[in-house]
Amino acid sequence: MSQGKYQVILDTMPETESRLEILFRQAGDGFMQVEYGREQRALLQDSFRMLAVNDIILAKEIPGLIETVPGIRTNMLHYDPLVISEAELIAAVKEAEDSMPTIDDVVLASRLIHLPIAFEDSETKKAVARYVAEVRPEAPNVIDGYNLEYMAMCNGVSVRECKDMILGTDWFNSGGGFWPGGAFLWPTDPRCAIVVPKYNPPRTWTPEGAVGIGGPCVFTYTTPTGGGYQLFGRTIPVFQFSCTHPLFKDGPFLYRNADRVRFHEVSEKEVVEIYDHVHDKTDYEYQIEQGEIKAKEYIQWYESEEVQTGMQELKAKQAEGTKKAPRL
Amino acid sequence: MEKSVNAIMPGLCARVVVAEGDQVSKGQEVAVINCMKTEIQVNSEYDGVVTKVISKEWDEMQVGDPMVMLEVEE
Amino acid sequence: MLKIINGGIETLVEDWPGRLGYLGKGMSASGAFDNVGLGLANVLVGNPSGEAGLEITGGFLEAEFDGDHVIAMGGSDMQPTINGQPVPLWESIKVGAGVVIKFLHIGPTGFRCYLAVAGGVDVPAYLGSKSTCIFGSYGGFQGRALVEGDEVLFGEPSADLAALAGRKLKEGAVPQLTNELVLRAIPGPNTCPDYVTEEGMDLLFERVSKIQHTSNRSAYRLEELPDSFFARADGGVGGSHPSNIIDHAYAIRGALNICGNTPILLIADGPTLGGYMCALNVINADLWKVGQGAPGRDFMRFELSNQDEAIAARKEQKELLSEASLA
Repeated sequence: MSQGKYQVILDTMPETESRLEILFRQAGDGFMQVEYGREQRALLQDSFRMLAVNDIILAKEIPGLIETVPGIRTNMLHYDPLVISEAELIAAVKEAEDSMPTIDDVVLASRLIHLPIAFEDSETKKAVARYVAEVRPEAPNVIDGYNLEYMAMCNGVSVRECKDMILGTDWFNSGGGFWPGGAFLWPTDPRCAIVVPKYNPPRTWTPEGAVGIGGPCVFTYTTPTGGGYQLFGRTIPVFQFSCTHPLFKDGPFLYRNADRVRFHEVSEKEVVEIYDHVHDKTDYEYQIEQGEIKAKEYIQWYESEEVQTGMQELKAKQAEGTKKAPRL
Repeated sequence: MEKSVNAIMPGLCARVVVAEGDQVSKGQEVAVINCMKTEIQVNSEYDGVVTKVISKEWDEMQVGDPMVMLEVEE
Repeated sequence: MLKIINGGIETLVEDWPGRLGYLGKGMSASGAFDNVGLGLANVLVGNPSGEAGLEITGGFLEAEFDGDHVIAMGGSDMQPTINGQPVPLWESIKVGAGVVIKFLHIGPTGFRCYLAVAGGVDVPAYLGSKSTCIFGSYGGFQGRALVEGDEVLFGEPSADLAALAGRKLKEGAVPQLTNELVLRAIPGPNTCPDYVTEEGMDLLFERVSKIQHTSNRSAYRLEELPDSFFARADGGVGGSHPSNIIDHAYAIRGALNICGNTPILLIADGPTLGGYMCALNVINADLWKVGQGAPGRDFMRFELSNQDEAIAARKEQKELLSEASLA
């Protein structure tokens, strides 16, 4: 550890069998970043463990801790330094970490949210048409007026295979941020891990409920806004500013950290009708199951030959697809 | 009497929307300044005739910088 | 009630400390950009220092009161007038029905003026705050800037108006605005040796940078940094540019985000998470100065600070924003 004037690592915890090295990084006088490992990597098992520890930290109801903001490999702690010191906060995190010594202990509460999706719906098609008309007329990611063909091309698969991959995996929320109510949803099944570049330049408008993918993450648009993810369909409301529907009575947000989203295909008519039942009649019943993720089981499944083989097959197709797909 | 229409905000001149010889009236939009990623309208405080356009696109503006000169009747 | 005749460049309802606790939900704290200007104006009219007031950015607000109120202004001197007569900042003034208050353009220093009214601005709190997030169009007055015809309501004053009027600040309590903002800052979370070279950090703390004209309530953009700032060739899995990192939460308000070669100070309404490194944080007690930096005119410099100094400065500011500052 260097002792220079720009030294920002306040403390560390060594790597163990079940977790990466932990770095406590200074981030001003009201924030501290807890970083897991020194390598830039985005693996769900890192997130599972971090979110399980995060739940323990939050359950302590530490005075002065305003909030925690998990990313996929970092957790930002926001605190009031007039109430709790940096050292006390680090001690609290260490205690939470130490209470989870083995991989068997990593069990994460995780809801399963079933969301209907209408692929290639008319609203998201309008957003793509507007992009072509107003922003980038010759956009190579728009084929037949939509982004699905381009998504399929990038991954070396057919449009139907692309849809099946979206429907065939659960999408794990590693934490929200960036846009009100938003969540970054990662595929839990690596055999369905499609990857696509983002729009360049971004769109100026996207409808509420649009579902898109950028890099490895799926995003369900919470409110009408700009955006850069490739669009493939529309789901039901996942956010409600007015908080009138019972599900949103405590706040406008649907998603919590560690939620899993599972999409099922429905008609556009069905999706549109649900908007009415969420926002106007406020009687739509969301399908949400309580559940948990056991990190050990996930890792065993992830490392199984079947999953690894499928993942390698997809990667090979993607390598071919990337060669063919135009850059944005 | 010669009067100027001045920048009301710091920023970049986005455009001047009048030309020499144009008749302008009080409250009329004369130029646009880009600041805070927003277009800010600069209006004439007088009735008059444009005698000179001083600012052009991308010019850096400070509050009070003349953008357009007008001949204004007493 | 205050009826808006002209909303000016951008007039917003803001309080302090804003909407805390929703960063993970993609909602930044928003809040008064210069919380000292708002705070002192509030103290003058007998409000809690964090009560909601009007944040007048760039000037030109014009509005008419419909009843008796006590008001005070703080921040940039936009040469306010009441029925055409100049009135001073930093003292409480009684106004009556039919009084028209009018602001001109920004002064030679500062960019935002705050209007506090005894009783505070009465808008519904959304998720615990009356602040407007203009970037996301929520909170404050219908999630937007004030425009002609809007009617702004006020709460109950804490005391008789006669007792609240004519109050002034004691000497030394009025904040000094400058064209070169000196911001005390703490390095991190991404510095040397892994992300930035030591020379790069030295440069960041030495140079004076102009505030770019594109700066707004989400981000204050500074002049580009040279490639030699970075200690690495690319961002690895995070992206092709050395400023890229796998998405992480931003320590907002006050994080200096390095986006490509452009340093961007993330404040008020800014993004809560993203894929760029952050090299330093402006200390909480100096955030107010940023709000008085005029885009396209003023300059910014960072001064190396530390936890102890930042905590002492927080305590000092708490003391400043109290009745102890009244003359």
